[in-house]
Parts: sequence; structure tokens; C-alpha cells
Amino acid sequence: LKMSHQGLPPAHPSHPSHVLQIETLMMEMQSPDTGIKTQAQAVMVTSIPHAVTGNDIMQWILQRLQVTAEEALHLGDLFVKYGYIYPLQEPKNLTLKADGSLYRFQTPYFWPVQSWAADDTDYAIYLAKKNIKRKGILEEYEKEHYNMLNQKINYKWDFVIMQAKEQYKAGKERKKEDRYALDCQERAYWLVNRTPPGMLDVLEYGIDRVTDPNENKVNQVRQPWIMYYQQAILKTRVKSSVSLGGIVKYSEQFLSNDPILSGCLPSNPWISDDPDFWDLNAKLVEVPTRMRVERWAFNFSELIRDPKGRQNFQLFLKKEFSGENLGFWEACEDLKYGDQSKVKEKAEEIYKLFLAPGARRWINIDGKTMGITVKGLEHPHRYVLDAAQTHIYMLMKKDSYGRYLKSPIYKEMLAKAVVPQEGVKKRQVKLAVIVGFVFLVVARVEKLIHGSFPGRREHWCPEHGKTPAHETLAARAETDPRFGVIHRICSAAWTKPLTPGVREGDRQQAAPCE
Amino acid sequence: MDQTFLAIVFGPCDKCSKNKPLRPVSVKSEQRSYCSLCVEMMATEGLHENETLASLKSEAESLKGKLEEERAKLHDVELHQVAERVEALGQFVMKTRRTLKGHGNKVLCMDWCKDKRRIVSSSQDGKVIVWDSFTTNKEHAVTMPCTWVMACAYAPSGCAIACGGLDNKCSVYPLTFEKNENMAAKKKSVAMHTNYLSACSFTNSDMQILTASGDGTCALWDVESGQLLQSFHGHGADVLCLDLAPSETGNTFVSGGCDKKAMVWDMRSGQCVQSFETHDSDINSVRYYPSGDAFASGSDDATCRLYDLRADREVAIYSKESIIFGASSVDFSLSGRLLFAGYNDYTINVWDVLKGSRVSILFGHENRVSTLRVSPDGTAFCSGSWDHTLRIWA
Repeated sequence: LKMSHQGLPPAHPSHPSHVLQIETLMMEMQSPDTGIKTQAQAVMVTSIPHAVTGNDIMQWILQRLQVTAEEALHLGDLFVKYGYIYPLQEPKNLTLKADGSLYRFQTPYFWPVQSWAADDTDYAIYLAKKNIKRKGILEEYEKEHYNMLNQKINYKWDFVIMQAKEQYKAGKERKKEDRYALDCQERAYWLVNRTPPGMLDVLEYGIDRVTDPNENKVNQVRQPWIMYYQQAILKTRVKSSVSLGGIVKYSEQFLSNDPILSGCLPSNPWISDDPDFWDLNAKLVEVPTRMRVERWAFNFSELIRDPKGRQNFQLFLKKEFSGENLGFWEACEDLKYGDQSKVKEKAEEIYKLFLAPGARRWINIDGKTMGITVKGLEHPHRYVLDAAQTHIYMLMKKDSYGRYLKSPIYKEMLAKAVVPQEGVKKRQVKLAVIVGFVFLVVARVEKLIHGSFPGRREHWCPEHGKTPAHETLAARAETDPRFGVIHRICSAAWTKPLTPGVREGDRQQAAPCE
Repeated sequence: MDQTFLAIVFGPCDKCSKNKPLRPVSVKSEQRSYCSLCVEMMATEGLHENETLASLKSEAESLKGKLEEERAKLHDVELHQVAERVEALGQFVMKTRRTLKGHGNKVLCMDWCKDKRRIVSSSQDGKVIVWDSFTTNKEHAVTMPCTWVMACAYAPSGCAIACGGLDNKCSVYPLTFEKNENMAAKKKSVAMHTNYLSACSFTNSDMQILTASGDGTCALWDVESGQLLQSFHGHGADVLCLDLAPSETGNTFVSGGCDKKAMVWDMRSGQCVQSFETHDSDINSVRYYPSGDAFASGSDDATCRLYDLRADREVAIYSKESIIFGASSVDFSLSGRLLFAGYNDYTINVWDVLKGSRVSILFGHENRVSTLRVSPDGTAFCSGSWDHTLRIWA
């Protein structure tokens, strides 16, 4: 099955749908009032009209769509790749450069339109024309296409050559700058529609859909839909404020558990390269983390979904002599999702173990539900125990769960739960160790040089403030109860007590410290 | 999670007399109980007398209008209004933490293993690879006999994978740790559709698979026997995506298709229980909100939307004038506060689900982003692209 768009019957018109938006933007970009100002620009020796710079394009997109430069550049680059804008200076390189590189808007005739693919005959004419212009100028891949087309549409070949010659002649009669621009236009068009090997084929869209949904089909309106609408109208709905409130509340409740938003302890393995987080949260880890155990209290679903939570809950249920409830629920899950060929025997086993009168792990369900279940077991299928399972689930949720959360079993689990320390990247740890070691060495050396002095290296002399010179006088400093650490020489000169923040004006001039 | 389903009746079908789960249906204004196969046959019959295509269509249209009226009656507030009291998100940065190179062609699909680090990915050239994405080592690889493997899934046990595409099938491959593993030899064909497979997912065990297909249907299969357990008809065109509800009590899933509809199905009866048609183009991806009370969709119309299942309506549209290309895949962060969406313009946009604004745009891929899934514990998400690579972001 050919996946490329080349030569295939038209693809579905609504596929893809970005085309319309791009076309609208392109029209705006070229509009005399709101668009980019174009001007004639010199490319080599030719002056090409209506050219714009890459930077102009990027700036226009940035202003028009209110996006960052990075986004504007990315979008503009896509416009070039899709063939709506083409480069004048590096024609083979369909990228947007946000500098003075020159570009031009592609003529709408050459816009990528999904409803009609670029024609093989046109391509053959283009290649033939190129060949006529200068023999041997075709690239390798173009030569291959040319030879293949020669075989494929050989019956048209005289027509192809004739058209190529006519177009070449007509081209020669044009003005130099027009010819140059047209050459660039055509070239860009074929780069997009017959992508060279190694280049991105932007027009590839995947596989065709099977059904055109726009076709009028009877069964689109038939019974199931009319019936569906009739039932849907009668459906019970909830007020938006209530249901949206629930959605918001859930998100708020789980925010602290969301590793991407709140981080996780000890660290996010993908960021720190340390898988400790996974080890600490293993399925049936001996001691779960505090966050995990707290989550079991959010709602019953969180508890029962976590194998560790279920294990702990089962302990509690056993104490209350209702352990068979969880066992029954688990057996029903296995019936629903397990091997379907064993449904009959599984159903029978479950009946014998949980439901039959005098069963070893008899579950306590009301008479009505029991009746439905037993009747259903005459023709067992995977949902036959649904009513009973729902009843037991609700019992656990509305009754046992509440008591569980207040029980010593849960509280003990919470108490001994682990709170991991925040880890750092292993590399950072190594670095910290090295730095710490260096600090230690330096401090030792310094102690040797300056003799023993308790406290900080920098000595704050209230008279002179903290200056580097004073550090070398460390050995000559002393601690004065009036001033704290002060140079001996300064404390000797100090006669009056200091008022905090105010310097004594008529203090005896102290001898300057060396 | 409250859901109103019709009571499941199991018994002899009024049409074919076989013992099957039954659905109520109106036949010439009378109530009957048909099995899902007979309902489908009735649906695809020609017109009955007294019915013309035009009259049926206008009846359907008027009912659809009434449904929208009913839905609007209880709509008393917008999501962003309720979210006003919620704290704004701080600046956050996400980077590519791992790049997985090894596919020789477009990556089309990926899925996480429950162990939170392994993934399976499939590509256009038929290759399916299992990676330990933490170390970036490839652990298993198999080449399918078809191209365009658009669907792949990891089994809950971590011991098998499922995949399919243009072969119209879904096959299960057990994963072993033998030295000279020959995966292709142990392959088991499970699902058979009449057109390409677009999506697949295991249910709560390794024994059941849910599939979506270009033939317009979804189906539930028993892996061991290959038996079709239930089929789901209703989409008017190719079904492109599906997602199972996270709840233990509901047995539902949502699907999206080329008919622009997102449909919620009851897995027991095969019936569509809710349907939404607000997108303007193909729905490429659907994903449940973590609570199960809502789901998001990504579409070729360049928007993502949020649908509230209890209020039964669309409640948010995530779009920007600068986002022109279609959204191919979406997934929620663990708390549901963020929606990650991969687009056909090679970027990933991160949306604040509650406030409706775009939080960040991630560049990196060099071609369309075709698949995107958040890891099971929410520590990262993986994106796959037509540029042949997969990236892990955190």
C-alpha cells in the first residue's frame, strides 16, 4: 500500500485541517495594511521585488499571534517547510532564519492543496526544462525520478519535451528578476512536493482513513442513534457547579502527590538518575512512605488500588471478621478479567466458597441480591456476580473503610511510614564532599598561620568596621564585654560606651591599626 | 462514580433466540429485547416502510437538539470560574531527560509498563521495541509482518505486549528473558478486524484486550481463546483511539473517531452510554481524567477539550491562535492539573486543565509528535515522534 501522496487519488479534503488557518495567515502577512512591508532586494546582482527578511517574518508572527520569539521562529519555519514562503538565497534549504536572509511569498497557485496532488506530468516537464537549461544539472535523485517517469509516462514523452521547450522559451523572454523569482518559486514547490532524500516530507499525512464520515449513510441515523438520543435525554445529570467542583477538588487534593508539579522525595529518578524513589515505593515494600499511606485516606479507591493498601486493609477486615468481603471482591475481579474459558468453573468455585449456605467464607448480602446472583449462576458469564460484587464493594466503602481509617492498624502503618530525606544529585554529593574537604584543609592551615582564635576569621572591630587588614591582626584581637571582639589597640582607645548605630563624635582618636 | 446503565438482562434474544446479554430496542414502536448482534443487523438494514431517509434524519436532528437543551439546563458555571480560587501554577521547567534512538522509521505508538520505567514502542517499519527507558537499553525487539504498527500496549503483569496495525489484527507476544529469545515464535493472534488496528489496551489483566479499528468498531477479546467477547458499534467512521476508565466500579471506556465523536461505552452490554460531538475534525486521542469523572480529547482541529461525564457536557477548550496543527495525543499529569498534548507541528503544549491556559511549550522533536503517555507514577512523560525517536521529559 503506497503511503506517499504522490500520484494517488485525492486525499480527503478535511484532512488535515491546518491548511485553512495557514492560508488565512499568509494572506494577512501579505496584506498592504496589516502585512509585512516588502521591498525589492538585491540577490547577487539581480534586484528581486517583494522580498522580505527572515527577521521581518518572525517579528510579524510574534506581534500578530502574541508569542515568544522561539515560537514565532518555529511557526515561520513550518511555513517555509510547507512551501508558503520560499528562500531566495539558499533555495535548497527550506528553513527560516531570523536574520537578514531574504524570502518571498509563494504564489497561491503553488500552495500545498491536499485535494490535488502535484502531477507527475508537471514534474516531468519541470525536470526536462531544467535539463534543457543546463545539461547535467539534475541532482542524483532528480535523475532517478526523470528516468522513472520516462518509463512510466513514456507515451506522453513527446508532449513533455515539447512543453518543456515552450516553457523554457517563454522564460527567456521574461525580465531577469522575474525569471529568477519564478525559478525559485518552482524550485521550492518541487522541493516540497517531491522531497529529496534526507529531507523532511511535510506533506506526508499517514494513512488514508477508511470511511468518509461526510457520506450520507443510513445507519448513521438509524435506530441505535434515535434510541440513544431518546435515552440520553432522560439521563440524570449533575449541575456543572457540583461536578466541576469535584474535578477541581480532586486536582487540589492530589497536587502534593504530583511529582511533576510538587517534586518527590528523595528525588525524581529521571532528574537525579537515582532510582531510590522507585525502591521506596515498590509494590509490596516492607515499609511504605508516608505520602503513600496518607493517600489511602483520600478515598476508598486509592486504598483498594494499592496492593500494599489492600494488604493492610485485609488485616483490619480479618480483625472484624469480614475478611471474606475483600476476598470475594478479588475473586469477582478475576472472574471478569481472567481467562474466559474458565468462567464456568470459577463461578462455581466462588459460589461454593462464598455464597452457598454454610460456605466456608460466606459473605453477607441481602436476600434480593442473593436471589439475582443464584439465578444468574444458572448461565454463568463474566458479569454474573456484578450485583453481589457491587453490594460488597459498597459495604466495604461505606462501612468498613471509615472504621479502618480510625483503627490502630492504619494508625500504626502511618506512624512507622518512612519520610525520605530530600536527596541531591549524586554528582552534587560528590562535589559537596570535595568542597567540604577543601574547606577543612584550608581552615586547618589558617589556624596554623594565625594561631588559635575562637570564632570567625573576619573580626569585626566596631571602631574600624570589618576590613581585610584587621584579619591579619587576629592574633592581637580580644573579646571585650562592652564591644564584643575588638582589637586590643582599639579597645584601649575606647573610653566611652557605644550607643548602637551611633558613633561617638568626641572619642579619643585611636592610633590607626596597621 | 455514579453511572446510569440499563439493567443487564441475560436471556434469549427476541430475534435469534440465543442466550446473550440483551438490550431494549424499539421495533415498530414496540419494545423488544435484542442481543447486540441483532441490534446491529437491524441498524444496517434498509429503510422500513413509512420511513424515509429524510424523516429519520430530521428526527435524529431534532432529538439531538433536545439533548443539547437538556444538557444546557444544568450548566450554571464555567470551569475557569470554579478554578478562580485555585492557586496559579508556578514556573516549571521540563527537559528531555532521555532520548531513545533505535527505531528506523516513524514512531507511532508507545505504552508504559507498570514498573514505571519500561516502555514498549512501535513504528512504521513494523518494529516493536521494549526498552528500559531509565538506562535506555533495548531489552526486546520483534519485527511485525506488517508496516504501520499503530497500536501497542504493555500487559499489566509486565510479561507480555500487544500490538497491531495494517495487518488488521492485534497480536500478543509474551516477553521472556531467554538469551536467544525468539519473540515471533510465541506470537498469539488475538483480535481480528476488517480494517487497520488503531489502538489497543489490556483491561485489568493479561487475559483481555480492548481494540479500536479503522473498520469503525471497538471490540473486547479473550486473549487465551481469541474469542470476541463484546463488540461496540456506533462510530460512523474509523475509530482512532480509546482509553479505559480508571474506576473499580464502572466498566466503561471512551473512544474517539474520524466521525468527530467521542463515545463512552458500557463494556458489559456493548451499548454507548454517552456521546459528545463538539470537535470539528478527527479525534486522535482520548484520555480519562485521573478521577474518572471526565476525559480529554485531542483533535485535528488543533484543539484539546475536556468533557465532564457527570454534567454530561464539554467544559473546556484548550486552544490558541498560534496553535494551528492538529493534536495527536494527550495525557494528564498524576493530579490531573496538567494536560500534556503532542502536536503535528512537532511541539508539545502543556495546559493548565483548570484555568484553561497554556503553561509551557516544549520543543525538541524534529517531526510530528505521534504518541504521548505519562508514566504510571507521574514522574515523567514519554513522547514518540515521526523523527524516529522517543523522549522522556521530567
